[in-house]
Amino acid sequence: MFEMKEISLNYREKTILQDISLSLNSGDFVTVIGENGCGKSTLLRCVAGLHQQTTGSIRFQQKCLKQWPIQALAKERAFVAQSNQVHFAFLTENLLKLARADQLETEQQSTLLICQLAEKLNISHLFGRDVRSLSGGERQRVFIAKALLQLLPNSNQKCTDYVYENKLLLLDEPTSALDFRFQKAMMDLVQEFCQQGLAVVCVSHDMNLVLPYATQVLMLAQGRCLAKGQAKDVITIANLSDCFGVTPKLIPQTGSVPYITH
Amino acid sequence: MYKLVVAIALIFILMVNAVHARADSPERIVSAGGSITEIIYALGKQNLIVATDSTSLYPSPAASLPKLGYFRQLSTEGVLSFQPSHLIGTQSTGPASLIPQLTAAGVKVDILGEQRDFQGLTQLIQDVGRLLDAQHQASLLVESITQQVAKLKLAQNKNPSISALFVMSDSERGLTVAGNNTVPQSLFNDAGIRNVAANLRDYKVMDNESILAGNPDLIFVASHRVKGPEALQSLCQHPALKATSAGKKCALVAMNSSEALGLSPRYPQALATVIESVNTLHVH
Amino acid sequence: MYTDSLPVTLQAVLAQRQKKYERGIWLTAGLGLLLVVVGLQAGSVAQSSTEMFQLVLQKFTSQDLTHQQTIHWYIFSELRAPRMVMAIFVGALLAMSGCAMQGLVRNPLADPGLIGISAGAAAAAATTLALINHYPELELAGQYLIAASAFIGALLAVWIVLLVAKTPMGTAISSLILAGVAVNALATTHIGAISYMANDDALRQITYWTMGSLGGINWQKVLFVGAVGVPAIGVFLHLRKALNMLALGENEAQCMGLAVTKYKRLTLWLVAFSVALATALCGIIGFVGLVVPHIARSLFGADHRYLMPACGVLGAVLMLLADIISRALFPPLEIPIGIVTSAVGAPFFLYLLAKGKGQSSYV
Repeated sequence: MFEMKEISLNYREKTILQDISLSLNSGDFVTVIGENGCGKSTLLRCVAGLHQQTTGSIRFQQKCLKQWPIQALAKERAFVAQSNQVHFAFLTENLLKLARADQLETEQQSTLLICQLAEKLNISHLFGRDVRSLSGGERQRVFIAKALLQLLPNSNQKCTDYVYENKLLLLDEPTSALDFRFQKAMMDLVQEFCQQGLAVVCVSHDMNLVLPYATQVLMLAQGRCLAKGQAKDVITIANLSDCFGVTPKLIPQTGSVPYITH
Repeated sequence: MYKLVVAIALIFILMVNAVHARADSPERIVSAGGSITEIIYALGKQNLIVATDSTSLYPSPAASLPKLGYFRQLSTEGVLSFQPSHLIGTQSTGPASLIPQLTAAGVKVDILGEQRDFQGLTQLIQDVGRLLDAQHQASLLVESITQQVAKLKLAQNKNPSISALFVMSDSERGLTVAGNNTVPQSLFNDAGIRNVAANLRDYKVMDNESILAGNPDLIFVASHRVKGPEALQSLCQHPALKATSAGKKCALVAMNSSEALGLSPRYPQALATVIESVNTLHVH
Repeated sequence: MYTDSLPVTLQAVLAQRQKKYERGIWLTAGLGLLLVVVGLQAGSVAQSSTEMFQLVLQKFTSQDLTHQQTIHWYIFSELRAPRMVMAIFVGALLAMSGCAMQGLVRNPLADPGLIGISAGAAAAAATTLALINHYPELELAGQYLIAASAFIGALLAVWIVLLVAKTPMGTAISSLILAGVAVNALATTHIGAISYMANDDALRQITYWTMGSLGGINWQKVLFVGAVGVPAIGVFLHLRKALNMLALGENEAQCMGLAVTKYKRLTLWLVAFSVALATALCGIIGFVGLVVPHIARSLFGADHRYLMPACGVLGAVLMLLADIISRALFPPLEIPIGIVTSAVGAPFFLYLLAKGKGQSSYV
């Protein structure tokens, strides 16, 4: 459903990304890890269609990514950026409404969807508040809700019943501002959507939190793919020390990815 | 439909009639420009003026007439509020939209040519006289000032080697002087002396070096710039004037601004001041 | 945990808010209508309502008018009425331009003048004024020549700014603002050079032009502005959704399905066109584009769905008010309207800034 073949990106004669391939099916959860500045966010922006790769091809739903009309693409893939700035005094519900602005549906229908999702992400108490006055974590949840709303088609179904087949959600550090409780809750929620067919690409530094959910891990170092595959294969002392330049300790855990610590 | 067309046509005709009917009413004049106001006063027709612009300050009764603002930027409604029958102004009367609007409101607008010399002054007086039905007074006035000017010209010592400069305003950076196509230029011509700034057009800032190079023998200053003899003395110390022949002797003469900057029936007085100053220079 | 009542409550809140804002917009429009009635009576020539009513009645029944009544009718129908309509158009266009500009650069301190529109218009108008002064044979077409050159000058300035700010990734807002500063400086220099060389007459005219005025407005000009201004207002209203998305940042907007490059260009050119149109016919009228969106935001919130129309009516109302002040304060003199808007707008803006210090709830 999503196919990226050997893409490279050069900017001002500097190589940012080199020969990266990635293939995704519905329900996949890909985690991209790597040191700071290794090109993770740039890769995500390429996947989102915000950057044009220099060489290589990206196909999404059997169609070349750059041939997608912007408006149609927005209903198929959504992007949650690392920092979410709102420059004017928007209210939470207005922001969420914006995600449904391109849909042909009544106000009541979109309100219903917004409320359902807001309940699910535990943000319905934020209605009526200026988005800029929200805490970092609250805002992050609101923006994730907005991204999920963007992917919902107009229907009278509950958003939780909907099958996200062939849809793609891109998350850049989605849990960076969340507290202990919501980090886990958010990941569980994303996994729940994955089970309904949503494909997710998630960039994160919090490997211990994210890796257990990953069906595929992509390890980047200086713009190149260092390792790719299932978490248990990629997370090795050798790979980690190659990637981050320090040697970590791995604490094995039964039935899950080893716990990484210093 | 037919009735409607007739009704509209009738309204139109009525409006046209109304416009025509107005021509008989007694004249109420708005005078735009100091020269014109002064001429109207000189012709004894001041009782026709209902309002003037902000430059109409002479003779002193004119200063107390209602003022409509600067003659280049009159407000149409402001003019109309005095219900004038005529507006008499010069070419610079404005803004551009004023004249068509006034004409459309039935005010007769007479724009007289902008004049800069004595010949033009007599023309202006005759034009104003004709507009106000005062041809006789106008020719008497023209005759009188022509005679005065002729007498002054006769009495002068023609000396084209003398050069002069008219300073309208001064600052440390330079002096704004009267160039060609100005009333001071005309006064200098009639007095038989040379204008140092004759190669400039209108009133321009002349830089200090050019003034020094021009080396005027005599300098006239608009009176509104110099209040009292101390001011005249300090102007002699102006960097541009100090080293000129005029500056060394402090041959500076203050001239009444309203006489010297604009054309008015007081032209002979202004000319007399200039010629007298030239003669004084000879004595020294 | 899920409650069925929540969507109902939220929908009710949203509907109530919409109703409130719509009522506010209509109320403002009503205020504007009131101002039109007041404005038709204000000015150098005093006209009472009864007198005016009688005049209209007489005109309607095609009765003969006296000499004085004819002049009053002329003042009423040919001087005051067109300038009030013009005030409405110009106020709405300038305020909506300001709103769009602030939304586009995501900064409530932005002003359409930021990208050199007014300065370009002023530079071109000054050049034409000086040329007309030098070649009196141009005087005949003077008014139209000045308006046309101001219009072209404004668009030229914006074109230069856009050309400089263009990058392979689209127009960058930061370079847009910097290029605007440079073009502003260039235009100011040009005006300075023209002023230095121009004679006294031309200098006066340039000064007066830059102060802005609704004095020379006739029905012809109003018709022209109406014919192109109404579609422009329509496009401004169409931009509301795009501006809402742009408020979240350009990347976010693009991911939400907005053709960012296209809308950015459309917004910039629309603002340039509207401000150029207003400036060409009325001279520079400052602060409307800056202050009105501020006031509107404090009353109607930041959502462009309501903010944009609110700016339109509020801009028209404020312009009507400024026009009335300019005519009625010192009759028979008329203060240039640009001076009135700046004299009222600048202190008000300072007040807003002082009040909003520490808490920026209204932006």
